[in-house]
Amino acid sequence: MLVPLAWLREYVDVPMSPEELAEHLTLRGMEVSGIEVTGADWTDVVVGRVLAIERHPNADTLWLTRVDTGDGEALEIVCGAQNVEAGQLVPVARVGAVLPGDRRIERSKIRGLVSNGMLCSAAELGIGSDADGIHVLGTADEHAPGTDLRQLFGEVVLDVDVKPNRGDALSMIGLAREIAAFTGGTVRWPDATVDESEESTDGHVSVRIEEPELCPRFTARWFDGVANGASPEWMQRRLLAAGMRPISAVVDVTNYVMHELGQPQHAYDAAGIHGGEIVVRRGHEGEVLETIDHVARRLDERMLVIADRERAIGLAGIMGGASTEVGESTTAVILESAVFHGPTVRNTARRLGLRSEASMRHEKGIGGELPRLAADRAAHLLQAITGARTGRGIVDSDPSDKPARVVRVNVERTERLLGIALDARLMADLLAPLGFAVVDVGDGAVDVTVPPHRLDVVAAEDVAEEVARSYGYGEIPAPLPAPALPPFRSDPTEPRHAVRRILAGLGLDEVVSHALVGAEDLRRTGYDPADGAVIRVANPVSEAHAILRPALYPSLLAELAENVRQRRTDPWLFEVGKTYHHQPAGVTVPGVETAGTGRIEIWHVGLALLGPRTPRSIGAPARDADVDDLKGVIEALHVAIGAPVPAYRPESVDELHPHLHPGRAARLLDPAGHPYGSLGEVHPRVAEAWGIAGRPVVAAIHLPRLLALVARAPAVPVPTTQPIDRDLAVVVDAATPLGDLLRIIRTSGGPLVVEARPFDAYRGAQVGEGRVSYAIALRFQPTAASDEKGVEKALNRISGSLRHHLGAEIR
Amino acid sequence: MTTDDLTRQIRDLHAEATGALAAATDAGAVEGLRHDLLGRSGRLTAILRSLSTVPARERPAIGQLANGVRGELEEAIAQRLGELGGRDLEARLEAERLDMTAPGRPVRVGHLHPLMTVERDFREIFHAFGFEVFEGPEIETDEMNFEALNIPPDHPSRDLWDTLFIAEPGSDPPVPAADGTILRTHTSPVQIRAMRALEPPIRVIMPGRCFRYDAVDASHSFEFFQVEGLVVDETTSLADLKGTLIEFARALYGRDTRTRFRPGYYPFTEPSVAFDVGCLVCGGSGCPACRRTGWMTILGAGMVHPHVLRAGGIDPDRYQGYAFGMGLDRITMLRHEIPDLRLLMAADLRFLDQFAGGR
Repeated sequence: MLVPLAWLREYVDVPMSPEELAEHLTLRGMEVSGIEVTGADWTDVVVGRVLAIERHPNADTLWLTRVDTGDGEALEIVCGAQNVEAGQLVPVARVGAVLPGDRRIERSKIRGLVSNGMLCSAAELGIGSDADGIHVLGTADEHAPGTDLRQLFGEVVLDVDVKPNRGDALSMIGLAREIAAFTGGTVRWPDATVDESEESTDGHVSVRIEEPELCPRFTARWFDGVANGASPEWMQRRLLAAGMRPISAVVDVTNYVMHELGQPQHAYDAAGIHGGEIVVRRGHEGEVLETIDHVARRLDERMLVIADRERAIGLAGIMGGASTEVGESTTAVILESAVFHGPTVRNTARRLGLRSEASMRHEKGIGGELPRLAADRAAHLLQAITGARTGRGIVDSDPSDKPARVVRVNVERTERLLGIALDARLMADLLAPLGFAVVDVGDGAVDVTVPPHRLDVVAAEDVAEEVARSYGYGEIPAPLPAPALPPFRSDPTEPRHAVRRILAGLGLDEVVSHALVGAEDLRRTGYDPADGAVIRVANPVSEAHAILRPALYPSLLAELAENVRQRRTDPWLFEVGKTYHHQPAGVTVPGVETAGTGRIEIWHVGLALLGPRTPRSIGAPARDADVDDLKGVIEALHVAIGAPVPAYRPESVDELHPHLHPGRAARLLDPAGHPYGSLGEVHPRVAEAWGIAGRPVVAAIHLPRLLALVARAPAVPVPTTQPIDRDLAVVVDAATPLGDLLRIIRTSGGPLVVEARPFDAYRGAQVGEGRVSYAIALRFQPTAASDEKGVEKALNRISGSLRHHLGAEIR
Repeated sequence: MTTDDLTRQIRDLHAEATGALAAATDAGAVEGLRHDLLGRSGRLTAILRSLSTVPARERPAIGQLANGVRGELEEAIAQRLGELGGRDLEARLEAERLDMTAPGRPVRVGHLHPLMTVERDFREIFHAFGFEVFEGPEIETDEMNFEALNIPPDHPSRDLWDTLFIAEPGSDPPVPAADGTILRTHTSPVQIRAMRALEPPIRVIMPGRCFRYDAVDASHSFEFFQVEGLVVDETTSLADLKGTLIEFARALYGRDTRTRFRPGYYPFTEPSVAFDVGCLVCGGSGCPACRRTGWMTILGAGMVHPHVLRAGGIDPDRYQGYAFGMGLDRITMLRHEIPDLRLLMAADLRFLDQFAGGR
C-alpha cells in the first residue's frame, strides 16, 4: 500500500523522520519496503511569474510569454495553453529539466521562435489529470519565483507491506492507529458529520439481500443535486500519490474514503437503477454484465452480484456495471458501503482477472462500524465537493450493535509460549495502546476485549502475538539452543550426500536442474510426451517446463548439450534428482515418496560423460570416455558406498531405452539378478538432436535400490597365507559375452577365486576366424597353506567348465 | 727364495696394487685387480702359497706381513669399489634430472553443487542443535499444502503461494486434477507429515524442492529449494526460537553477524516472525541489495498455530513449538554473492566449477 506521509499526518502526529517511521513500522510487522519522494524525478522545475504575454506572430493558438524564474533574467517561452495570463505564478520546466516519464526539456524552435523551456500542466507534472491548461500556482505572492517545485509538491510516500491478516491496517486511519500505539499519540478521526435533507432515503432506495451469508452488511445512502465535475486538486494529488487515478468528484470521493478509512465503496447513478431497488444475489448461469471497463463478463452461480430488480448492475466488491456508472450528467447517486464475503470476492476477482484495491480489502475483511462510518464520511465530502444533498436516513441491512469479541487468555500459557515473564497488569499495559481491554478474571486468566476492527484476533495465540509486538520482538530474550536430544539422529539425506561426495571425488561435476521439463526435451530423447504415464502440470509457466521428468535422461542430455554449446570438450556430470511417475495399480514400490495421490517420486543418480577424463598432456594422450569408463565410475561408486559391483545385461529389443545405442545398452543387475539401472552410449540420432558432437555415455541408477544393496558385513581377518596368481588364456567364440565367461570362472572356481580380471583380448589368425583369446588374471586366496592343492583343483574345475559351457580352448 | 726377496716382493706388490687401485676408473677394473691379486691364482695368493719354502723360524713374521697386506688390499678394494659405485649412482641421478617446473599430469576434480554444500552445512549446524532430517513428497495434496496449514480455500494468504497444479491424466488442454493434487509450494506440508510420523519431542529440519507459478527472473523461479524446521515439545517458546535462529545465523555467516527478530505473518504460525541479518553486501550501511535498509530477510518463522498442531495429530493444549522456513537458493546466493538465481540451475560448468567442495 502506498502511503503519502503528508496525508497520514492528518490523522496522527508523526514525531520522527520518514526513515525512523519506516523502521518502527517494520519492527511492528508493517514492513516498509520502500520510501519514495514523488516529484523527485523532476529536475529543474521551478515557480515562474508570467511577466507578459503576446500572440505568437506565426500561430494563432500559441502565446509567446516572458517569464521570471528568479534569476533576474526573463525567459522567453512559447506556450500553447489558453489559460495563461500575465501575473500568474506557473510551473516552469527550464532547459535541461526532466519531467515524469523521462521527458527532457530542450531549447527548441517553435514556429520560428526560440522557446527556452516549458510551462507545465498538472498532467505533465504527474500531479493531476488536467492536461489542457497551465497549472496555475497563484496570482499574487503565494510563492517566490525560482522556488523548486519539489518544495510545493514533493510528497514522501511509504510503500507499506500490510500482511494478509491485517486488513484493518490497509488505510490511513489503520496505520495511524498503529503509530499512535507506539508514539502514545492520539488518532484524529476525519469529519463525518452529515447535513441530511428532507428527502427520505427510504423513498429512493431499498435493499434486498438474498445471500446474507455472502453479504453480512449493506448500507446505502442516496444523494441528489450532485454536480460531478473534477475533484479538487488536493484530493487528486493525494490519490495519485497513493497510486489511484483521479476520475471524477464522486468516484474520487469513494476512493479517497477507501484509502482514508479502509472501506471500499461504490457509487451508482441512481437513474440507472430500476425502481431504486438493490438486490444482492448470486449470478445466474449465462447472465452477462458489462462492467465499467466495457468488458462483457459472463456471470455464474459462484459470483455474488449487485442487481436491480431486472439485471445485474455490479460485481459485489469488485467492479460496478457500465449501465449505472456515474458520469458528468449524473445528478442523483446511490452510495454502497457494504461488507461482502471475502473468499467469494477473491474467487470471483481471480477468475475474472479483476483484482483491485477494493477487492483486496474485501478479501481481507472489513470490521466493525466501518460501512456506516465510511458512508457518512463520503456524504460529508460529497456535500462539500459536489454540492450534493444527502437523503434523510441510511439504508442499513444490519444496524444492530455487534457485541465485542472477548478472548480468554491463560497468562502462564502466554508466558510459556513467548518465553517472557508476564502478569495480568503487564498484559493490560501492553495491550491497552492497541485498543484491547484486559480484565483479570482470576485463576491466572484474563479476558481480553478485542477492538472491533481487529478481525484477526480470535484466539489466545493471536493475543500472544499482540503482547509480543507491544513488548517488542527485539526485547524478547534469546537463550542458547536447548541441549541436543540423544545423539542418534535419523538423516535420510545422508546416503545421497555420500553418493554426491563419492562421485565428485571420482572427478564428476554435480549439476542441479529443473524437475519440470518440456515435451520437446522428451521428444529429442526419444520419449513420447503424449504417453499417458507422463505427469503434466495444468498451468505451466512455460511449455519448456510443463512435464515432471519421467527419467533423468532428458535432463542429463540437456546438461551435456548446454556445456557443448559453451565449447566445453569434456563434461563429466552427475545429478542426484527425482523422477516422477504414476503409481502402477496394486503395486507398491519400496523406497519411493508419495503423498498417496497415485503419483510417486523416485530418487535417481544420473551420470553423463563426454570427452576425455583428462586433457592430453605430455606422455598421456587424451582418450574419449566410452562405456567402459562409465562402468568404471559406476563400479567405483558401488565399491566406495559398500555395495556389490553390478552385473550387466545387454538391453533386449523389447526393453531398449530409446535414447541408447542398440548395441551399447545394458541394465545394471543386483546379485539377485534384478535390474536397478541402465547405462549405455547415446544413440547417434539422439545425440545429434541435442546438438552433441561426439559419443556421450549416460547412466541412471534407482537410488533406493542401490542403497538397499549396501549392507554392513563383518570384517574379514587378514589371511595367513600368500595369494596365488595365475594367468589364464581362454579362446572362445567371439560372440561369447565376457560377463558369462567371468561368471563361469567365479561359480566354478568357488570362494578361492578373489579376482578374475581380463587384461587382454586377441583376435587374429593364431586363434582362428570368429574366435577371440582372452587373457585373464586370476588371484586365488587359499585359507591355509594346505589349500594350495585346492587352487590347482579349482583351476581344473574352471577349465573344465569353460570347455563344457563355452566350448573354450584353454591355453 | 730368500726371506728378504719375499719381503721385497710383498712390499712391491702392495705398492703396485695401491697405485693400480687408485688408477682404476671403474668397478670392472677393480674387480680385475682383485682377481689378479687375490684370486685363486692371484699374485698375492701365489706368494702366500710359497711361504712353505721359507725357513720355519722366519715363517711367522713373513706370514704376518703377507696376511696384513692381503687385509689392507681387501679393504682398499672394497673402499675403492664403494667410491666408484657412488660415482656411478651420482652419474645416473644426474642423467635422470627432470624439468621440475613442468605442471602435473591432470587428475580430474569433481565439484559439488553449491546448493548442496549449503544444504550440507544446514544439516551440520542443526545436527549440532539436536535436529533430525525428515523428508516429504513434492507432489502433494491441497489438503497438506494448504488446509492442514490453516490456509483455507480462497483465503487471501493463498496469494503468498501461486500454485502449479498437476493435470488431470488425459486432459487436453490440461486441466487441474480433480483430486486436487498439486506441486508443493513450500516445505511446510512436511511439518504435518513429521508431526504425524514422530512423537514429541520433535526436532527436525526438512529440506526439499518446491514449485510455484512464478515467472523466472534474477531472483525468482518456478522451482526452488527450501529448508523447513520444526520443534514440538511442552515448553519451547518464541524466545527459544529467537535464540536458535541467532545461533544458526552466527554458525552460517560468522560470530559477529547482526540479526533482527521482528513480526511477520504466516497463517500456520502465531505469533509469526521475520528474521533478518545485517546486509551481507554492504554490511548494514544500505545498498540496492538490501533496498537501503541495511537488513536482509533470510527466513520466516513463528510458533506453530494450534490448528496446525491439531492437523498433525498433536494436542495443542499440551504441546507447543516453533517452525521456520528459508530459501536454500537465497541463502546460497547471499553466501557466494551469486547475482542471478538462474545460474544455479543452468548446468553451466563455467559457473559450477568455481565452487570448491569445502566451505
